[in-house]
Amino acid sequence: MIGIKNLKLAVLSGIALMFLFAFSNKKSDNSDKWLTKTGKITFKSTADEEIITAVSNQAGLVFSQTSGNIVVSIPIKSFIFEKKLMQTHFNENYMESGKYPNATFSGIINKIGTINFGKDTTYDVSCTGQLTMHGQTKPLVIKGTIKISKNANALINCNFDVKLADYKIDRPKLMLKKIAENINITLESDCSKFAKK
Amino acid sequence: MIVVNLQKSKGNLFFLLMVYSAQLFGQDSTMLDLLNNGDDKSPLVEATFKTTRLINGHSVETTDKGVLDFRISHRFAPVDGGFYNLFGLDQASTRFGFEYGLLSNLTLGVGRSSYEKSYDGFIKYKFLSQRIKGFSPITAVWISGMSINTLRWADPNRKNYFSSRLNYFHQLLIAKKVNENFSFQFSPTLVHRNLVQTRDEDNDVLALGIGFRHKLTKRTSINAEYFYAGKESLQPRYKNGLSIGFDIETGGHVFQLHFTNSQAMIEKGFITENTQSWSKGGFMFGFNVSRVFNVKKNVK
Repeated sequence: MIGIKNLKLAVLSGIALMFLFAFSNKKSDNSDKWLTKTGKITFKSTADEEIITAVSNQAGLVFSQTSGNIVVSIPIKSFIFEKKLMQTHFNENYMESGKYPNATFSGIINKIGTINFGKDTTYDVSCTGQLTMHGQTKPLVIKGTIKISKNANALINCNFDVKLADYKIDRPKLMLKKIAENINITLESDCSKFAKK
Repeated sequence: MIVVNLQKSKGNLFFLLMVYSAQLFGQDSTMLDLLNNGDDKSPLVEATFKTTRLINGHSVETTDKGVLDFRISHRFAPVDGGFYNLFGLDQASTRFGFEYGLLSNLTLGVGRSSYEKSYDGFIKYKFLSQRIKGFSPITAVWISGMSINTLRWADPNRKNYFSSRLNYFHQLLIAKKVNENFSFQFSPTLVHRNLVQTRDEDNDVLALGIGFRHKLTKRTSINAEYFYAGKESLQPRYKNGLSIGFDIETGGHVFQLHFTNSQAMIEKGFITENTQSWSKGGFMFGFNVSRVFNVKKNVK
Protein backbone atom coordinates (compact mmCIF):
# COMPACT_ATOMS: atom_id res chain seq x y z
CA MET A 1 0.00 0.00 0.00
CA ILE A 2 2.72 2.38 1.00
CA GLY A 3 4.52 1.70 -2.23
CA ILE A 4 1.45 2.60 -4.26
CA LYS A 5 0.96 5.81 -2.28
CA ASN A 6 4.54 6.82 -2.92
CA LEU A 7 4.12 6.03 -6.58
CA LYS A 8 1.06 8.21 -6.73
CA LEU A 9 2.88 10.99 -4.99
CA ALA A 10 5.76 10.68 -7.40
CA VAL A 11 3.43 10.82 -10.41
CA LEU A 12 1.62 13.81 -8.97
CA SER A 13 4.84 15.67 -8.27
CA GLY A 14 5.97 14.82 -11.76
CA ILE A 15 2.84 16.35 -13.20
CA ALA A 16 3.24 19.38 -10.96
CA LEU A 17 6.83 19.84 -12.10
CA MET A 18 5.72 19.59 -15.71
CA PHE A 19 3.16 22.27 -15.00
CA LEU A 20 5.81 24.45 -13.46
CA PHE A 21 8.10 23.94 -16.40
CA ALA A 22 5.31 24.68 -18.80
CA PHE A 23 4.59 27.93 -17.00
CA SER A 24 8.21 28.91 -16.58
CA ASN A 25 8.78 28.38 -20.28
CA LYS A 26 5.94 30.71 -20.91
CA LYS A 27 7.43 33.18 -18.46
CA SER A 28 10.74 33.39 -20.24
CA ASP A 29 8.88 34.56 -23.34
CA ASN A 30 8.60 38.26 -22.74
CA SER A 31 7.49 39.33 -26.20
CA ASP A 32 4.17 40.50 -24.75
CA LYS A 33 5.89 42.75 -22.20
CA TRP A 34 6.28 46.50 -22.25
CA LEU A 35 8.60 48.26 -19.89
CA THR A 36 10.52 51.31 -18.77
CA LYS A 37 13.10 51.85 -16.08
CA THR A 38 13.01 55.61 -16.25
CA GLY A 39 9.42 56.44 -15.43
CA LYS A 40 8.91 59.80 -13.81
CA ILE A 41 7.12 59.77 -10.50
CA THR A 42 6.28 62.95 -8.63
CA PHE A 43 4.70 63.34 -5.27
CA LYS A 44 3.13 66.40 -3.82
CA SER A 45 2.17 67.09 -0.25
CA THR A 46 -0.11 70.10 0.05
CA ALA A 47 -0.38 71.13 3.68
CA ASP A 48 -1.54 74.38 5.29
CA GLU A 49 1.93 75.82 5.73
CA GLU A 50 4.04 74.07 3.17
CA ILE A 51 3.94 72.41 -0.21
CA ILE A 52 6.53 69.72 -0.63
CA THR A 53 7.31 67.98 -3.89
CA ALA A 54 9.86 65.40 -4.88
CA VAL A 55 10.65 63.65 -8.14
CA SER A 56 12.19 60.35 -9.10
CA ASN A 57 13.13 59.38 -12.63
CA GLN A 58 13.78 55.79 -11.73
CA ALA A 59 10.29 54.33 -11.61
CA GLY A 60 10.42 50.89 -13.18
CA LEU A 61 7.22 49.68 -14.81
CA VAL A 62 6.49 46.49 -16.72
CA PHE A 63 3.20 45.15 -17.98
CA SER A 64 1.99 42.34 -20.16
CA GLN A 65 -0.28 43.20 -23.06
CA THR A 66 -1.85 39.76 -22.97
CA SER A 67 -2.54 39.14 -19.28
CA GLY A 68 -2.68 42.78 -18.19
CA ASN A 69 -0.35 42.07 -15.28
CA ILE A 70 1.52 45.17 -14.22
CA VAL A 71 4.38 45.70 -11.77
CA VAL A 72 5.83 49.05 -10.74
CA SER A 73 8.89 49.43 -8.55
CA ILE A 74 10.40 52.65 -7.26
CA PRO A 75 13.60 52.96 -5.23
CA ILE A 76 12.68 55.29 -2.35
CA LYS A 77 16.17 56.75 -2.28
CA SER A 78 15.77 57.95 -5.86
CA PHE A 79 13.42 60.77 -4.88
CA ILE A 80 15.07 64.17 -5.19
CA PHE A 81 13.88 67.05 -3.03
CA GLU A 82 14.63 70.72 -3.43
CA LYS A 83 16.07 70.74 0.10
CA LYS A 84 18.60 68.04 0.73
CA LEU A 85 17.82 67.89 4.44
CA MET A 86 14.19 67.11 3.63
CA GLN A 87 15.42 64.28 1.46
CA THR A 88 17.45 62.89 4.35
CA HIS A 89 14.49 63.16 6.70
CA PHE A 90 12.20 61.57 4.11
CA ASN A 91 14.49 58.56 3.94
CA GLU A 92 15.47 58.41 7.60
CA ASN A 93 12.40 59.42 9.55
CA TYR A 94 9.42 58.82 7.31
CA MET A 95 10.00 56.11 4.69
CA GLU A 96 12.82 54.31 6.54
CA SER A 97 14.32 53.46 3.18
CA GLY A 98 17.16 51.52 4.80
CA LYS A 99 14.60 48.97 5.96
CA TYR A 100 12.14 49.36 3.08
CA PRO A 101 14.16 50.32 0.00
CA ASN A 102 11.39 50.09 -2.62
CA ALA A 103 7.76 50.92 -3.10
CA THR A 104 6.09 48.36 -5.36
CA PHE A 105 2.73 48.10 -7.00
CA SER A 106 1.52 44.85 -8.41
CA GLY A 107 -1.82 44.45 -10.12
CA ILE A 108 -3.83 43.96 -13.26
CA ILE A 109 -4.78 46.45 -15.93
CA ASN A 110 -8.51 45.87 -16.30
CA LYS A 111 -9.88 44.97 -19.74
CA ILE A 112 -6.46 44.99 -21.39
CA GLY A 113 -8.10 43.09 -24.27
CA THR A 114 -9.90 46.21 -25.42
CA ILE A 115 -6.62 47.97 -26.15
CA ASN A 116 -5.36 47.80 -29.71
CA PHE A 117 -1.60 48.07 -29.44
CA GLY A 118 -1.22 48.54 -33.18
CA LYS A 119 -3.07 51.82 -33.43
CA ASP A 120 -2.40 55.35 -32.16
CA THR A 121 -5.10 55.90 -29.58
CA THR A 122 -5.44 56.98 -25.99
CA TYR A 123 -7.41 54.73 -23.68
CA ASP A 124 -8.82 55.41 -20.25
CA VAL A 125 -7.85 52.47 -18.11
CA SER A 126 -8.13 51.37 -14.54
CA CYS A 127 -5.83 49.15 -12.64
CA THR A 128 -6.54 47.04 -9.56
CA GLY A 129 -3.80 45.82 -7.32
CA GLN A 130 -1.77 46.25 -4.21
CA LEU A 131 0.69 48.94 -3.24
CA THR A 132 3.47 48.00 -0.85
CA MET A 133 5.56 50.66 0.83
CA HIS A 134 7.07 51.22 4.24
CA GLY A 135 6.43 47.52 4.87
CA GLN A 136 2.65 47.86 4.50
CA THR A 137 0.51 46.47 1.70
CA LYS A 138 -2.85 47.99 0.81
CA PRO A 139 -5.27 47.39 -2.06
CA LEU A 140 -5.43 50.24 -4.53
CA VAL A 141 -7.42 51.08 -7.63
CA ILE A 142 -5.71 53.55 -9.95
CA LYS A 143 -7.28 55.31 -12.89
CA GLY A 144 -5.15 56.58 -15.72
CA THR A 145 -4.54 56.61 -19.43
CA ILE A 146 -2.50 54.58 -21.86
CA LYS A 147 -1.47 56.33 -25.03
CA ILE A 148 -0.33 53.98 -27.74
CA SER A 149 1.85 55.26 -30.51
CA LYS A 150 2.73 53.24 -33.58
CA ASN A 151 3.22 49.92 -31.90
CA ALA A 152 6.40 51.21 -30.30
CA ASN A 153 5.50 53.23 -27.25
CA ALA A 154 2.88 53.04 -24.57
CA LEU A 155 2.71 56.15 -22.42
CA ILE A 156 1.05 55.43 -19.10
CA ASN A 157 -0.09 58.39 -17.05
CA CYS A 158 -1.90 58.27 -13.78
CA ASN A 159 -2.57 60.30 -10.70
CA PHE A 160 -3.80 59.07 -7.35
CA ASP A 161 -3.71 59.78 -3.64
CA VAL A 162 -2.29 57.70 -0.84
CA LYS A 163 -3.05 58.20 2.81
CA LEU A 164 0.12 58.19 4.89
CA ALA A 165 -1.61 56.60 7.88
CA ASP A 166 -2.53 53.55 5.75
CA TYR A 167 1.15 52.81 5.35
CA LYS A 168 2.06 53.60 8.96
CA ILE A 169 4.08 56.65 7.96
CA ASP A 170 3.85 58.85 11.04
CA ARG A 171 3.63 62.60 10.98
CA PRO A 172 4.89 64.13 14.22
CA LYS A 173 2.55 66.65 15.82
CA LEU A 174 4.88 69.52 15.01
CA MET A 175 4.67 68.64 11.33
CA LEU A 176 0.90 68.30 11.00
CA LYS A 177 0.66 71.68 9.29
CA LYS A 178 3.66 71.02 7.09
CA ILE A 179 2.99 67.52 5.83
CA ALA A 180 -0.38 66.62 4.29
CA GLU A 181 -2.44 63.66 5.39
CA ASN A 182 -2.85 62.50 1.80
CA ILE A 183 -0.06 62.61 -0.70
CA ASN A 184 -0.80 63.08 -4.38
CA ILE A 185 1.24 60.91 -6.71
CA THR A 186 1.70 61.35 -10.45
CA LEU A 187 3.31 58.77 -12.69
CA GLU A 188 4.39 59.32 -16.27
CA SER A 189 6.06 56.35 -17.83
CA ASP A 190 6.95 55.89 -21.44
CA CYS A 191 7.15 52.15 -21.98
CA SER A 192 8.62 50.46 -24.98
CA LYS A 193 8.26 46.94 -26.11
CA PHE A 194 10.54 44.42 -24.45
CA ALA A 195 13.57 43.82 -26.59
CA LYS A 196 15.77 40.77 -26.23
CA LYS A 197 19.38 41.47 -25.50
CA MET B 1 -14.31 4.53 0.33
CA ILE B 2 -16.20 7.56 -0.79
CA VAL B 3 -14.75 9.57 2.07
CA VAL B 4 -11.25 8.53 1.09
CA ASN B 5 -11.85 9.54 -2.52
CA LEU B 6 -13.11 12.91 -1.44
CA GLN B 7 -10.05 13.46 0.68
CA LYS B 8 -7.87 12.51 -2.21
CA SER B 9 -9.53 14.87 -4.60
CA LYS B 10 -9.29 17.61 -2.00
CA GLY B 11 -5.62 16.88 -1.76
CA ASN B 12 -5.20 17.10 -5.51
CA LEU B 13 -7.15 20.30 -5.66
CA PHE B 14 -4.99 21.79 -2.95
CA PHE B 15 -1.91 20.71 -4.82
CA LEU B 16 -3.11 22.28 -8.05
CA LEU B 17 -3.95 25.49 -6.20
CA MET B 18 -0.47 25.58 -4.78
CA VAL B 19 1.03 25.15 -8.23
CA TYR B 20 -1.26 27.83 -9.57
CA SER B 21 -0.48 30.33 -6.84
CA ALA B 22 3.22 29.67 -7.18
CA GLN B 23 2.80 30.46 -10.86
CA LEU B 24 0.94 33.69 -10.10
CA PHE B 25 3.52 34.75 -7.59
CA GLY B 26 6.26 33.83 -10.02
CA GLN B 27 4.71 36.02 -12.68
CA ASP B 28 5.09 39.14 -10.53
CA SER B 29 8.55 38.38 -9.29
CA THR B 30 9.87 37.64 -12.79
CA MET B 31 8.30 40.84 -14.03
CA LEU B 32 10.17 42.58 -11.20
CA ASP B 33 13.35 40.86 -12.37
CA LEU B 34 12.89 42.47 -15.76
CA LEU B 35 13.13 45.83 -14.02
CA ASN B 36 16.25 45.09 -12.00
CA ASN B 37 18.96 43.93 -14.28
CA GLY B 38 21.54 44.55 -11.60
CA ASP B 39 22.81 47.71 -13.22
CA ASP B 40 22.43 49.96 -10.23
CA LYS B 41 25.27 50.88 -7.94
CA SER B 42 24.41 50.13 -4.35
CA PRO B 43 23.03 53.28 -2.72
CA LEU B 44 24.99 55.32 -0.20
CA VAL B 45 24.30 54.92 3.47
CA GLU B 46 22.76 58.15 4.72
CA ALA B 47 22.76 59.83 8.11
CA THR B 48 25.46 57.93 9.95
CA PHE B 49 25.14 60.73 12.49
CA LYS B 50 22.54 63.44 12.88
CA THR B 51 24.88 66.34 12.35
CA THR B 52 28.48 67.30 11.61
CA ARG B 53 29.59 67.00 15.25
CA LEU B 54 29.39 63.94 17.44
CA ILE B 55 29.62 66.18 20.52
CA ASN B 56 32.84 68.22 20.50
CA GLY B 57 34.62 66.49 17.68
CA HIS B 58 33.67 66.27 14.05
CA SER B 59 31.56 63.38 12.83
CA VAL B 60 31.86 61.98 9.30
CA GLU B 61 28.82 63.99 8.22
CA THR B 62 29.50 66.83 5.83
CA THR B 63 27.19 69.74 5.13
CA ASP B 64 25.11 69.09 2.02
CA LYS B 65 26.02 70.88 -1.19
CA GLY B 66 24.77 74.44 -1.26
CA VAL B 67 23.71 74.30 2.36
CA LEU B 68 24.89 76.70 5.06
CA ASP B 69 24.98 75.38 8.59
CA PHE B 70 24.97 77.98 11.34
CA ARG B 71 26.07 76.54 14.66
CA ILE B 72 26.00 78.00 18.14
CA SER B 73 27.57 76.11 21.01
CA HIS B 74 27.92 76.77 24.71
CA ARG B 75 29.81 75.01 27.48
CA PHE B 76 28.92 76.21 30.92
CA ALA B 77 31.04 76.09 34.07
CA PRO B 78 31.42 72.83 36.03
CA VAL B 79 28.25 71.70 37.77
CA ASP B 80 30.16 71.35 41.05
CA GLY B 81 29.84 75.13 41.40
CA GLY B 82 26.54 74.23 43.03
CA PHE B 83 23.40 76.29 43.36
CA TYR B 84 25.34 79.53 43.91
CA ASN B 85 26.50 79.34 40.27
CA LEU B 86 23.27 77.64 39.21
CA PHE B 87 25.32 74.50 38.57
CA GLY B 88 27.64 76.32 36.22
CA LEU B 89 25.08 78.16 34.13
CA ASP B 90 26.34 81.54 35.33
CA GLN B 91 29.40 81.29 33.12
CA ALA B 92 29.70 80.11 29.56
CA SER B 93 32.32 79.39 27.00
CA THR B 94 30.86 79.91 23.54
CA ARG B 95 31.57 79.23 19.91
CA PHE B 96 29.62 80.17 16.83
CA GLY B 97 30.45 79.11 13.35
CA PHE B 98 29.38 78.93 9.74
CA GLU B 99 29.91 75.85 7.63
CA TYR B 100 29.18 75.63 3.95
CA GLY B 101 28.90 72.61 1.69
CA LEU B 102 30.93 73.48 -1.40
CA LEU B 103 30.25 69.96 -2.67
CA SER B 104 28.26 67.24 -1.05
CA ASN B 105 31.53 65.80 0.24
CA LEU B 106 33.53 68.98 0.80
CA THR B 107 32.84 71.41 3.63
CA LEU B 108 34.52 74.67 4.57
CA GLY B 109 33.98 76.08 8.04
CA VAL B 110 34.92 79.06 10.14
CA GLY B 111 34.23 79.86 13.78
CA ARG B 112 34.95 82.09 16.70
CA SER B 113 35.32 80.83 20.26
CA SER B 114 35.48 82.73 23.50
CA TYR B 115 38.14 80.18 24.50
CA GLU B 116 41.41 82.12 24.06
CA LYS B 117 39.39 84.42 21.77
CA SER B 118 40.14 81.97 19.00
CA TYR B 119 39.25 82.11 15.34
CA ASP B 120 39.24 78.77 13.62
CA GLY B 121 38.83 77.39 10.14
CA PHE B 122 38.80 73.95 8.62
CA ILE B 123 38.41 72.00 5.43
CA LYS B 124 36.69 68.65 5.52
CA TYR B 125 36.66 66.13 2.71
CA LYS B 126 34.74 62.88 2.59
CA PHE B 127 36.73 60.58 0.34
CA LEU B 128 34.87 57.34 0.98
CA SER B 129 31.18 56.77 1.60
CA GLN B 130 29.70 53.64 3.07
CA ARG B 131 27.39 51.81 0.69
CA ILE B 132 24.55 49.49 1.55
CA LYS B 133 26.08 46.58 -0.34
CA GLY B 134 29.40 45.93 -1.94
CA PHE B 135 32.89 47.13 -1.42
CA SER B 136 32.62 50.21 0.72
CA PRO B 137 31.77 49.18 4.29
CA ILE B 138 32.83 52.43 5.98
CA THR B 139 32.78 56.18 5.57
CA ALA B 140 36.11 58.00 5.78
CA VAL B 141 36.78 61.69 6.05
CA TRP B 142 39.91 63.81 6.20
CA ILE B 143 39.80 67.09 8.04
CA SER B 144 42.49 69.70 8.57
CA GLY B 145 42.07 72.91 10.46
CA MET B 146 43.78 75.68 12.28
CA SER B 147 42.98 78.15 15.00
CA ILE B 148 44.37 81.53 15.97
CA ASN B 149 44.58 82.57 19.58
CA THR B 150 43.94 86.33 19.75
CA LEU B 151 44.38 86.93 23.46
CA ARG B 152 46.64 89.87 24.32
CA TRP B 153 50.20 88.70 24.88
CA ALA B 154 50.74 87.55 28.43
CA ASP B 155 54.09 89.32 28.49
CA PRO B 156 54.15 92.17 25.94
CA ASN B 157 57.71 93.07 26.84
CA ARG B 158 59.28 89.96 25.47
CA LYS B 159 59.64 89.19 21.78
CA ASN B 160 56.33 87.70 20.64
CA TYR B 161 55.81 86.02 17.31
CA PHE B 162 52.51 85.87 15.44
CA SER B 163 53.20 82.22 14.62
CA SER B 164 52.99 81.49 18.35
CA ARG B 165 49.27 82.13 18.09
CA LEU B 166 48.68 79.34 15.58
CA ASN B 167 47.53 75.81 16.25
CA TYR B 168 46.73 73.05 13.80
CA PHE B 169 44.91 69.76 13.75
CA HIS B 170 44.56 66.91 11.28
CA GLN B 171 42.08 64.15 11.67
CA LEU B 172 41.07 60.97 9.93
CA LEU B 173 37.50 60.04 10.70
CA ILE B 174 36.40 56.48 10.08
CA ALA B 175 32.81 55.61 10.81
CA LYS B 176 30.38 52.82 10.23
CA LYS B 177 26.63 52.80 10.45
CA VAL B 178 26.10 49.30 11.76
CA ASN B 179 22.31 49.43 11.56
CA GLU B 180 19.53 52.00 11.59
CA ASN B 181 20.22 52.83 15.22
CA PHE B 182 23.87 52.28 15.91
CA SER B 183 26.88 54.05 14.40
CA PHE B 184 30.44 54.32 15.70
CA GLN B 185 33.49 56.28 14.78
CA PHE B 186 37.26 56.26 15.26
CA SER B 187 39.07 59.57 14.98
CA PRO B 188 42.87 59.40 15.08
CA THR B 189 44.00 62.99 15.51
CA LEU B 190 47.18 65.01 15.45
CA VAL B 191 47.13 68.36 17.21
CA HIS B 192 50.08 70.69 16.73
CA ARG B 193 50.60 73.75 18.91
CA ASN B 194 53.23 76.21 17.77
CA LEU B 195 53.65 77.44 21.31
CA VAL B 196 53.13 75.41 24.46
CA GLN B 197 53.07 76.70 28.01
CA THR B 198 55.99 74.79 29.47
CA ARG B 199 59.22 73.33 28.18
CA ASP B 200 58.06 69.82 29.18
CA GLU B 201 55.10 69.78 26.87
CA ASP B 202 55.20 68.39 23.36
CA ASN B 203 54.12 70.58 20.50
CA ASP B 204 52.52 67.58 18.82
CA VAL B 205 49.87 65.51 20.54
CA LEU B 206 48.59 62.31 19.01
CA ALA B 207 45.18 61.27 20.20
CA LEU B 208 42.58 58.68 19.39
CA GLY B 209 38.94 59.63 19.51
CA ILE B 210 36.22 57.03 19.78
CA GLY B 211 32.53 57.68 19.77
CA PHE B 212 29.13 56.28 18.98
CA ARG B 213 25.54 57.27 18.64
CA HIS B 214 22.54 55.14 19.43
CA LYS B 215 19.12 56.24 18.28
CA LEU B 216 16.39 56.17 20.90
CA THR B 217 13.63 57.20 18.52
CA LYS B 218 13.65 58.35 14.90
CA ARG B 219 14.51 61.87 16.01
CA THR B 220 16.55 61.44 19.19
CA SER B 221 19.75 59.65 20.03
CA ILE B 222 22.34 59.30 22.77
CA ASN B 223 25.96 59.92 21.90
CA ALA B 224 29.26 59.45 23.62
CA GLU B 225 32.76 60.53 22.75
CA TYR B 226 36.20 60.04 24.28
CA PHE B 227 39.55 61.44 23.20
CA TYR B 228 42.53 59.56 24.51
CA ALA B 229 45.84 61.37 24.36
CA GLY B 230 48.68 59.37 25.82
CA LYS B 231 50.25 60.27 29.15
CA GLU B 232 53.56 60.78 27.33
CA SER B 233 52.34 63.76 25.37
CA LEU B 234 49.95 65.37 27.87
CA GLN B 235 51.05 66.88 31.14
CA PRO B 236 49.31 65.39 34.20
CA ARG B 237 47.32 68.57 34.74
CA TYR B 238 45.46 67.88 31.49
CA LYS B 239 42.76 65.22 31.30
CA ASN B 240 41.34 63.21 28.45
CA GLY B 241 38.00 64.49 27.20
CA LEU B 242 34.88 62.47 27.85
CA SER B 243 31.44 63.63 26.75
CA ILE B 244 27.98 62.13 26.87
CA GLY B 245 25.19 63.70 24.89
CA PHE B 246 21.64 63.61 23.67
CA ASP B 247 20.56 64.76 20.19
CA ILE B 248 17.14 66.03 19.22
CA GLU B 249 16.31 66.73 15.61
CA THR B 250 13.39 68.93 14.62
CA GLY B 251 13.08 69.83 10.94
CA GLY B 252 15.95 72.16 10.12
CA HIS B 253 17.41 72.25 13.64
CA VAL B 254 19.51 69.78 15.54
CA PHE B 255 19.86 70.32 19.28
CA GLN B 256 22.71 68.54 21.00
CA LEU B 257 22.71 68.57 24.79
CA HIS B 258 25.59 67.10 26.70
CA PHE B 259 27.80 66.77 29.72
CA THR B 260 31.52 67.06 29.11
CA ASN B 261 34.74 67.90 30.87
CA SER B 262 35.91 70.02 27.92
CA GLN B 263 35.34 73.73 28.01
CA ALA B 264 36.75 74.43 24.56
CA MET B 265 35.07 73.62 21.27
CA ILE B 266 38.18 73.60 19.14
CA GLU B 267 40.38 70.51 18.78
CA LYS B 268 43.40 72.13 20.39
CA GLY B 269 41.32 72.76 23.49
CA PHE B 270 39.10 69.73 23.92
CA ILE B 271 41.81 67.23 23.04
CA THR B 272 44.88 68.68 24.73
CA GLU B 273 43.82 71.28 27.30
CA ASN B 274 41.04 69.87 29.49
CA THR B 275 41.72 70.91 33.04
CA GLN B 276 38.51 69.49 34.46
CA SER B 277 38.11 65.91 35.56
CA TRP B 278 34.89 63.90 35.67
CA SER B 279 36.05 62.03 38.75
CA LYS B 280 36.23 65.31 40.69
CA GLY B 281 32.82 66.54 39.58
CA GLY B 282 34.46 68.75 36.98
CA PHE B 283 32.02 68.12 34.19
CA MET B 284 29.80 70.78 32.69
CA PHE B 285 26.58 71.09 30.81
CA GLY B 286 26.71 72.26 27.21
CA PHE B 287 24.77 72.40 23.98
CA ASN B 288 25.25 72.76 20.24
CA VAL B 289 22.48 74.11 18.06
CA SER B 290 22.66 73.65 14.33
CA ARG B 291 20.39 75.44 11.90
CA VAL B 292 20.71 74.82 8.18
CA PHE B 293 19.85 77.22 5.37
CA ASN B 294 19.47 76.21 1.75
CA VAL B 295 21.58 78.62 -0.23
CA LYS B 296 21.32 76.66 -3.46
CA LYS B 297 18.64 74.29 -4.69
CA ASN B 298 19.35 70.59 -4.59
CA VAL B 299 19.42 69.47 -8.22
CA LYS B 300 20.93 66.42 -9.80
